[in-house]
Amino acid sequence: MKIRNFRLLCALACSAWAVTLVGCNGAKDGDATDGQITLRLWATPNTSKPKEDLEKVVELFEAKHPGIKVQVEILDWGAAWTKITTAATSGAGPDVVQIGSSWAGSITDIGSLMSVSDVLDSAKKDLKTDSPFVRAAYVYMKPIYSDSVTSLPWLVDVRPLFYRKDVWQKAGVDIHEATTSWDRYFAALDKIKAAGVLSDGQKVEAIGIAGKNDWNVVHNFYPWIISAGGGVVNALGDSVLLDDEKSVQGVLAYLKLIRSGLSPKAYLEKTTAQVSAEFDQGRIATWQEASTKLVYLERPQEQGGAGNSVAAKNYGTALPPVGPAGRKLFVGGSQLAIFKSTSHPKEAKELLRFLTTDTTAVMRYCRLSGMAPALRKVFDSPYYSSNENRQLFKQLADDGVPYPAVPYWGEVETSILNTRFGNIIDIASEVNGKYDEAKVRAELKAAANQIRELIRDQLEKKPQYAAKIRAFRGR
Amino acid sequence: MAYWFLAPTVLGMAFVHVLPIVQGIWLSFLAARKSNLQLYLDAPLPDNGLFGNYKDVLFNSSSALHAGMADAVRNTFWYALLVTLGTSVFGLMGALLLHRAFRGRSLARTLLLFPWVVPTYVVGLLWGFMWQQDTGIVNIVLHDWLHLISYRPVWLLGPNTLWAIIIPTIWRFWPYSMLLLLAGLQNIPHEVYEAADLDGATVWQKFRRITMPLLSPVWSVLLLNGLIFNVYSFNIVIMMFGNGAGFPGRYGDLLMTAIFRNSFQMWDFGHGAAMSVLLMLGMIALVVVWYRIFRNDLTNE
Repeated sequence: MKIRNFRLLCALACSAWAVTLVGCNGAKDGDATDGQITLRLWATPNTSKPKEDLEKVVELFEAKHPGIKVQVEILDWGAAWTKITTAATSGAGPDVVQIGSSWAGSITDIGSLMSVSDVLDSAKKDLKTDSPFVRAAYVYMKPIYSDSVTSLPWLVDVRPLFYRKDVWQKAGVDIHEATTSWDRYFAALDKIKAAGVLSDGQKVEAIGIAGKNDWNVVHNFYPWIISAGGGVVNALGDSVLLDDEKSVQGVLAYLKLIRSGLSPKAYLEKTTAQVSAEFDQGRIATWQEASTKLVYLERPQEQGGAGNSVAAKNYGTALPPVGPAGRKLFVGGSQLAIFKSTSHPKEAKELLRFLTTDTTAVMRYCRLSGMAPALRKVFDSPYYSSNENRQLFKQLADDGVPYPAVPYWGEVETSILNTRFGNIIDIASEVNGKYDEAKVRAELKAAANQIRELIRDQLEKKPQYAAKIRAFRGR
Repeated sequence: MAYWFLAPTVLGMAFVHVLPIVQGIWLSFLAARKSNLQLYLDAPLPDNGLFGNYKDVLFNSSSALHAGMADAVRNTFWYALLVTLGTSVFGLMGALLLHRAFRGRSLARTLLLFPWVVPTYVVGLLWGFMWQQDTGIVNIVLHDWLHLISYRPVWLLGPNTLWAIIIPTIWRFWPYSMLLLLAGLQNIPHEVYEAADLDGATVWQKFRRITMPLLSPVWSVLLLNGLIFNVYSFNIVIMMFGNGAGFPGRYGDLLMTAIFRNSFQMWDFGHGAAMSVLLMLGMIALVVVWYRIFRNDLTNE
């Protein structure tokens, strides 16, 4: 009986192991079968039909490279950071990956991205220019502490002002004149508010400012801070600017949009998408959002857009206002990179080069997504140059001031700035007592001290970073 | 032979519970960050010593985790207490209602269970819309229809945020309490109530002297379960405030959302693990206190 039980137990144990091993199928990425190579491409949802639309671009590459098949996988933005960093450390990831621009520093720091300096060099030669990409994108290609180019720019997130031409006209103000300075901008918005314009019987607010419940909190404050001559950290990422008086004045100017009633305080409970919907429904005269909104406004409602709305019939785009330090604009976007773990580096580089430097491919994807191209040549197309709403995208991209490409930018943005700017929005909303400027300054001071501590910690742990900064300063 | 049959469960528990807990405690002593992800459990000790992560979380004013900790602890304390009380009280009311025989009782039971079947992330998303000051249904009902309040409150900013997360949580979880209390009520022998009736006991006396004491095994477990579950609450808050993208604010941030945002989202495992271990120790202390108070209530003998 004992031997029989033992044999039964062994059989059960072996079965359990077999089941476990079946679940650990280690099929390698980018397998080559029957002479055909499969490359895996990870991307985030840049369009309403992300996989389908990206495959429309990828098929152009496959047509030129018959032996290569590209398998597109879409990562949700919420999970993308986790999946990409997991792939970066585990070595089990795709061949080519889309990374947010502000992630470039962090992911490069992990050491898992292949150098693509040769791809950039050959692109410069073929395109006959030393700067094929928009200026703002260069900082992410070769992050501060990196010795080589680790990604190429693909898409640029530019943020024009969207405005109701009819409402501005009724209020007797011109947006292009109004955005030549902050004072003129506020005066124009005051006039719109005072005019009490109605649209389809509903009151139109002068401007919409969303609250703290999404990723855009920092991106919304940032242009006002830099336009005032301030910043969060300097370009090298080793010195904090957030509690400088200019930065503080930038934040206070942004808060004035809320405190003066130009934007309803009720919007502070809403996300960017919800306030954007208010613009679509005709309740806001001025709104700043990513260029993707244009695609949405041009698409008919039957196809999920807002094409038939009162906003869609009356909107225009404009450059954001000029601050005391000039017109400084937020610019973000995405890069494409190759993991070192790829089994097909040559083919992966071909795909990377195609997606970022082939004019037809970039144009096709930008038309589908509404994002602006990082490839400068694409702006020459009539789609941009002859369209009054898209004409300014090139300037927005070129004049954009990117965040510093340092490995710890993620912590700065997510842990520190998101929280502190969120508290500042609460102070401006006056739900917990009257507005007190001293409290705003205290939050900025606390954020600046936290960032200083973070930088000190980072530079101590990685003395090679401190050495690189000294080398930069010595130039 | 019995040990062989127990072995798969013990092994499973060890892999799923014990091993991760031990790993987490080990991590809490390491400077495990994004920059040394590949080292993981071989990451070095923090610069400020073996308990460096603990010191940062508890005392370092520059640490993002420490900065918001007082607010998160306060919010979690009131949230856990009020949600546990709320679900218990409403659960008891529902159980007492369903314990009676009446026409349509089955339908009533089904309808009362409805919140329980709605996924927590959907609850968070939905109530995020419902609480909006200008277009939310809560203010429309309270102000526009019923005229119970003279103005439309802001729920998702400032101190009201705490109520904005407590109320949906009670709404979502009270049917669970109701089910357990209903089962407890149905186990109380009728003869006890009959004897009380013969002695001339009032409804309130029967409730206080019979129902509540005989339900003590149920509501004492509900109390512990509720407190632990609500201290670790995460889903509803994270979904109500931007699916992890937003900041719930000084009055909406709970311990779990603060730990997630300031450590694990940034792959700062060391500090996140330290905070989690401190939280675990706090909950162990709570269980010890609970057991001392309620151990005699766990049976109704």
